Amino acid sequence: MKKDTSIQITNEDSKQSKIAFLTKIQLFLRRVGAYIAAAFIDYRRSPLTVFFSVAYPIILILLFGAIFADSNNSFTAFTVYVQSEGDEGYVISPVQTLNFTDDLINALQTMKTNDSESLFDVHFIPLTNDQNGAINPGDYLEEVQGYISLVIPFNFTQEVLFNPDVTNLQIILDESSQSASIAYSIISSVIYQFNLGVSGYNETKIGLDTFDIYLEEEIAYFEFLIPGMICVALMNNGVMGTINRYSFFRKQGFFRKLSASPMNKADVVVGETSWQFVQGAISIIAILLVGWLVFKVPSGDFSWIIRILDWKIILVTISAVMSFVGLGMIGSRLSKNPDAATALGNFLTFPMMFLSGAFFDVSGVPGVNVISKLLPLTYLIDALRATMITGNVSIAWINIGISFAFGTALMIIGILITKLTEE
Amino acid sequence: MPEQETFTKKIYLSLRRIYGQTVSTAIRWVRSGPALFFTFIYPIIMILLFGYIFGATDDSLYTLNYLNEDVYQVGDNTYAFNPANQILQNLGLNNDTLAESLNLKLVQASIETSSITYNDWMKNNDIPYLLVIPSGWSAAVNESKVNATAPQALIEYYYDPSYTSSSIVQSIIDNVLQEMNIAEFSIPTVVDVVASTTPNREGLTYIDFIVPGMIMVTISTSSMMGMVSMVTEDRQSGKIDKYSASPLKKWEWALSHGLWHTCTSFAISILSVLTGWIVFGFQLSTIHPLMIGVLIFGSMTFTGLALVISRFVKKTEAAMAATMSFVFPQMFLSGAILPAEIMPDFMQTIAKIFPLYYVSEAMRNMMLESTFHLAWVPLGITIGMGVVFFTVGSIITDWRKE
Repeated sequence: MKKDTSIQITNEDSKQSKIAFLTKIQLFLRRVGAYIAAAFIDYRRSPLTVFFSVAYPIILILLFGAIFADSNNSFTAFTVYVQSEGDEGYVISPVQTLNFTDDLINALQTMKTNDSESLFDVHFIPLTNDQNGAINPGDYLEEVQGYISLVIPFNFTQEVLFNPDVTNLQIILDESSQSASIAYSIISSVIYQFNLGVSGYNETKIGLDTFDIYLEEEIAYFEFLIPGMICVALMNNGVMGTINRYSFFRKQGFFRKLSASPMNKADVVVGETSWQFVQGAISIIAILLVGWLVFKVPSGDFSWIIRILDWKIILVTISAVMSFVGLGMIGSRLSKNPDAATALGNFLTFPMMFLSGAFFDVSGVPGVNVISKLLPLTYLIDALRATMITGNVSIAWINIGISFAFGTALMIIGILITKLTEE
Repeated sequence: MPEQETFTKKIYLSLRRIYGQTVSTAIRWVRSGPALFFTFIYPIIMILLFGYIFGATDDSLYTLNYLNEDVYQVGDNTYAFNPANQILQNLGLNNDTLAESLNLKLVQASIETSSITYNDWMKNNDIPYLLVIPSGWSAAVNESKVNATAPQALIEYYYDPSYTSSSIVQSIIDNVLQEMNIAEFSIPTVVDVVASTTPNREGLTYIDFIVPGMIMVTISTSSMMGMVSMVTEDRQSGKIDKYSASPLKKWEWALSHGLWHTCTSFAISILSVLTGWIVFGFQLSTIHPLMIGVLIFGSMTFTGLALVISRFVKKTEAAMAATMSFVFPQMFLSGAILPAEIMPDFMQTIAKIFPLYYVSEAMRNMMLESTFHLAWVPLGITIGMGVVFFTVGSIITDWRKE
């Protein structure tokens, strides 16, 4: 009988401790819920936060999408200025005259892209001006703000046919222009083909066969930008949001007040992280919807938005939130007031945005490519790109792993140095 | 006489008020973290970032993975020196100087071709580009030398299109192949291309063209964000309402802000130029005295715009969001960061809506003697915008309590 009573008491204790534990969890969840609700109200009332989480990435998507989208509408032909010093040609029969100047200009004018767009927009530089003075093609190019010009020498055809020396074509280009270097490379290929033709070869004997490794997947270039935009939005939300809120709380004395309430540091950190996850989800939905509506729906690819969804996006978002909330917590400890915190947030996020390769490929830039590998944003973008766009599972998991390592380390440092009781 | 004295005194008092307000703005600026960031740190970061990312093209080094599957055999003899090895040497294999001059670093790939395709290997290992010399390639090259109808000997280039550098690497390989064609098949060079830079740009680098644009981007961001936040905060705190009960006039108040923003514009310009000069060797000779005019009227334009925005969007946060919605597209579309020539035509048209486009154009055209005559129109537009926006901003600013 005694034994039964003792078993009953033990069961009662265990039941009570279970209830106490559940109550604790319930209260914890309520406190976290309250924090999230407060953060949401703050978000709704703050146009600046809405700007950074929704409008800013959408502006970037529209801008970079329109600039780099490989659709017919976006291609701009290379403008090349040609100055010919005159070519009489060479009469090979009463009905046939060779004119290499015309052939060369014609070749440039008829070259097409894969989408049958003209590759070059050819403009002509006159030889003399109104005062009958000679026009220097270099000066002319600068005056019209062009970036490349081709100067064909006098009697080019006869020079090629009868001059035993090499005939030089002059190319003048603006070396700071990216378009000039691409156009120069294409014109060089045309000249190379011309040499082959003169030598009696129909085609080059050694050639290059190119293979796009994502050809089957039919990935448009703008799709490669989407993960970058999403991660930039997650970074802005996380770093700027946390840094601003924490420094504002500290300045207003909220943290000290919270330390006198049942709310502890764990509640605040979990609340902030959960809220950033929700805010991240809002940003992701907004970016995907706009990208789909603007770049995919017009081409009839309605299923794109479903195809790119993958459950691993949740993992990438969690690791991003951990990394950037952690970074925000560290930043908020380093700055004493909200004004300075905003500046510090900008200082952390702005360079990261460009160094991580979100917009431009930095893999070939010495120094920058090393710094890029030290930034959490780089791995998050790679993880998301592999998850959503290329479907490369192994790359996705490696980068998710590295992102979680970054997230855990930054979060631990952030939690350790955050103090609710001070100031 | 007393009338003249009163007038002189009025001017003196007005100048004192402008001076007092300017000093007060300066003190607030110095005490504000974001303002200091945008004025002093932001231009340095911008110049360093874009200088390194876009300016270091000549120093770029692209890691090109290669796989040589070609073993050149005649009977039982294997020949170490063959076209396959030749092309790799021409690309800089075992020759660091040549490799660096081509901006390439060759790395031998280790691919189990029996179990994985090139595409999958590249995808799994995040490899941007791979050059494959297929089996029998050297034999095909040699066959072409004796048989005019022999098919083209092709090497294979696999690339990941998400890397923008893949087209650059392809172009490098193409050039090397062309040279090899000429050498192997004794193709005479009948026509050659001699390239030179435009006369006034000789000796100038990318950084020389990016610095003026960066200066104006920073000035526009700093002026607009700083001004909008200050005005809306002052309105919310009731400070502006108190001004209406003081002798300070609206135009004096606006002018003092304009003066202070012009001062910060000069500070930003000096910092940017110094950073560009010290780190990247920015050519100081490209600076023209008329650029001071662009700075002054550019600052007035952005200060005036900020006054217009803060007149219609009352709350600080909303006003900042509205300003950013304007500042960011302007930054990328104006041609200050991304060259306008790479944008589609319709975006180049949109760019012309933004004041920064004209301000940057004026600055850039003033750099070269040959383009200087093109600076007058954008300079005129900049002056016009400065006067109009500043006047309109000052007039419509409302000091009444809400």
